[in-house]
Amino acid sequence: MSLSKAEISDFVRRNLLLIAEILLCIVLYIGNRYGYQRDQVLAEQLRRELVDMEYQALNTTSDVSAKSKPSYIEKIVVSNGSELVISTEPAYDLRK
Amino acid sequence: MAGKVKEKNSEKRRVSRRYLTIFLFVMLWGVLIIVKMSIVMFAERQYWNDVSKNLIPANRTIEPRRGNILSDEGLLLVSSMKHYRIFLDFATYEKNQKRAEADQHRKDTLFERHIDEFAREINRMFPQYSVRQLRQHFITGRTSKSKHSWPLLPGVSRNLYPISYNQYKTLTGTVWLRPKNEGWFYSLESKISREQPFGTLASRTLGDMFAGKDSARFGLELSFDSILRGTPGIGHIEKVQNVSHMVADIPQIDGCDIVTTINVDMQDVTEVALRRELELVNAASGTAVLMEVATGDIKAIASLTRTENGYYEIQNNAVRDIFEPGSTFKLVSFMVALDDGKISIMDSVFCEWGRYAGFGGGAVMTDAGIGYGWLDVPGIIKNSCNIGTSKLITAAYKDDPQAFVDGIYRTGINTHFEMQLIGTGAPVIRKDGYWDATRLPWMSIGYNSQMPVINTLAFYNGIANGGKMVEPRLVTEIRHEGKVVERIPVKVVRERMCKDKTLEQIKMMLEGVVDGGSGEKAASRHFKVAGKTGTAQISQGAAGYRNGIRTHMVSFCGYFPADKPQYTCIVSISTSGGAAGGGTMAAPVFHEISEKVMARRILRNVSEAVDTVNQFLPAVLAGDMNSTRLVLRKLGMKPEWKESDSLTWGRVTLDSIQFRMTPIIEREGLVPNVVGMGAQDALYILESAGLRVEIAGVGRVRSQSLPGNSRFRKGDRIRINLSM
Repeated sequence: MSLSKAEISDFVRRNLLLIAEILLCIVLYIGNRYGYQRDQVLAEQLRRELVDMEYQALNTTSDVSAKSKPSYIEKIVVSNGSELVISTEPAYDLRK
Repeated sequence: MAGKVKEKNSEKRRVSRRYLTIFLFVMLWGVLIIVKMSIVMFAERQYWNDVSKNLIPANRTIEPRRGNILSDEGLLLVSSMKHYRIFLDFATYEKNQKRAEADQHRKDTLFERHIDEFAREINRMFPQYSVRQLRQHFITGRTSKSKHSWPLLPGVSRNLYPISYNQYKTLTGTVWLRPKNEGWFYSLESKISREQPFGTLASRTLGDMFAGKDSARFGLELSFDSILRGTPGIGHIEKVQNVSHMVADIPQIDGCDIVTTINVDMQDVTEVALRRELELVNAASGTAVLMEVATGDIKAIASLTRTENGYYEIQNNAVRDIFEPGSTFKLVSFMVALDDGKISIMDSVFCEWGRYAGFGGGAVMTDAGIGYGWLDVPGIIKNSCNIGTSKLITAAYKDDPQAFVDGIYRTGINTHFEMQLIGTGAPVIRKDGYWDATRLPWMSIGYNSQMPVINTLAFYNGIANGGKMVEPRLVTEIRHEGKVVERIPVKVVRERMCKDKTLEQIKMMLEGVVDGGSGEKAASRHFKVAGKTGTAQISQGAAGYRNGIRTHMVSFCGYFPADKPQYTCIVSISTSGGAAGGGTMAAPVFHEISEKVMARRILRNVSEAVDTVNQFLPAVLAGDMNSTRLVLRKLGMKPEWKESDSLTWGRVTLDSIQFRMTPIIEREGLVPNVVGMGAQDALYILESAGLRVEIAGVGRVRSQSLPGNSRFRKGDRIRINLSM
């Protein structure tokens, strides 16, 4: 039942377009899948980075807030030997 | 014909042979599949089970991030933050002996060379540990049994995560803690926990979570738990290009943020002022609450209790505990009686000489030993006289005491304010039951009823708010990802607590208390204050009021500025033994809070700053005195004019508050002294004298290269330096 060369080449010739189309689809599929996976990895990496940044932002805000607390500043001012105190006198309005 | 049949048969055979081949091939393939399947199912069962355990993407919960609690200005009061524990590994994990030796050598070298530097670096980040202490800690760790996992910081308990995200980032960026084979190995444990950046600020109101559990304990964390919590998502782990990552099937919804009314500055000022006074009088506990008049927004709320280490927030006493309010309640009594028309502000009553036993029931009412004699209603309030208040109220309501309680209810002071918190105290003002001889008189001066401090505050706030009582509010907005989801409106409890006329009289009396009355220590130089002191003995339950040491609840409740109220504040301090008074202990705290709060909110007109000492005087340059005189006169000043009117060049000195003009005399052949003049005048004088001038700088002349009154020749160069 062996197929003659002529038969195979005839079969290939007749289905050349189909084979080309299948090959193209395979190439597109592989390329697309690869690209998608790369994007997925990148997205994951960026997402982690974002979460990291959010935590960093929160942490920095927290540090800065703690240091800007009025009584904390007052304590530092006192410990540095300065005579500055929180004013109980209202400010003057110098605007015209 | 036979040829055709033969050809057809051979064609048929060929086709069936082809199909047979394909059939056999498919069959063989099928058999192979079944064989492989059997091998996998039976022979390799255990192996594949193990693999599947590792690979099958079980559904995983994606935890949502808990929402933040923000201040009125959007500052972070509570947030979820990542914290870490770092463990050092001083020994190698290599199994191969040769490699193990090499790696251990590398680690040891690193240790020997850099231990001091490393200790210093850690000390910079955590100054609470000394370099020596850290160094010793690392040396101990290296030879210890736990050398594979030695905590970075000494003496930190197992359930603490002391390293913040930023510190962790810095640490792992250092040479010593690089991953893999570059530094010391380290292992890491992280935990997301709630943190209050401002430390203990309003900690009891903001709330807390159970350590290590996802469950709120108290405060806003508890009452807004469902809003802060968010909804978990579901996802699975997928391995893509050798990187596993979580794919969300149902994404999580992060919790909402809540915006509170707490103002960080005001809260800080309130806590500091309260703590200072509590330490001064060695009080058992104290509370201070600051409220915005128009909205009922709680700007600051502090409840400090004495502990071994100082004063801290242990409970939210301001909203939780109910007390007999004492003298601050007298105002309620008078509001009711004046509103019912039972008394008039002009009524006078004999207030005895410090003691009165005439109410019956064998009870004696005292006024701390002070005899006031005859007082009118404002006088009674001003001096916070017990006997006067009780006599007037008893006379007015003795036939129908329930009408008095109806009046109290009418003001709204009996409202149970839940304040968006769980576990707030409900006031107890009894209406029914037997009225014995002492119940009404003592009720009128703030005994026999109990309420949280916040109710007294809401009542005084109502007075400040033109008779409109609003519910104290702690949360104004709920936000999700920065967008407002819900606004919580101001809730009005009573549109009008009393008649307008009564309100005016009450306000006037409150101003009297601070203006030379019992609350004068609350007064301010910069704005008008109105309020009322309160001193109540605290009942010791069944033992009564006089069991051993007397404990007092002293308070001051008032509002400022009295002519256009912006804030209401109550300060209440619980003391034991000794003399106690709202005017001497609570009023100074109120004073400090009000002054510091208002210092940032009022702007004084600059003209108020002018007095005999401080004057606004212009800086006057030396030079053309005719122009100077013109300008000074336009500014409304009269410069002293000593010399003749022909004075052209001169300088101006300031003699206390008077400008004095003295002439600059030019002589032929001598360099004019132009120090103190502006560039224009100096240039004119020098050039007309025949000098060639170089100018440097701007402002007034500070120095000249040829000194004044020295000889010169025409055409000489002179350099003048100017500065502001």
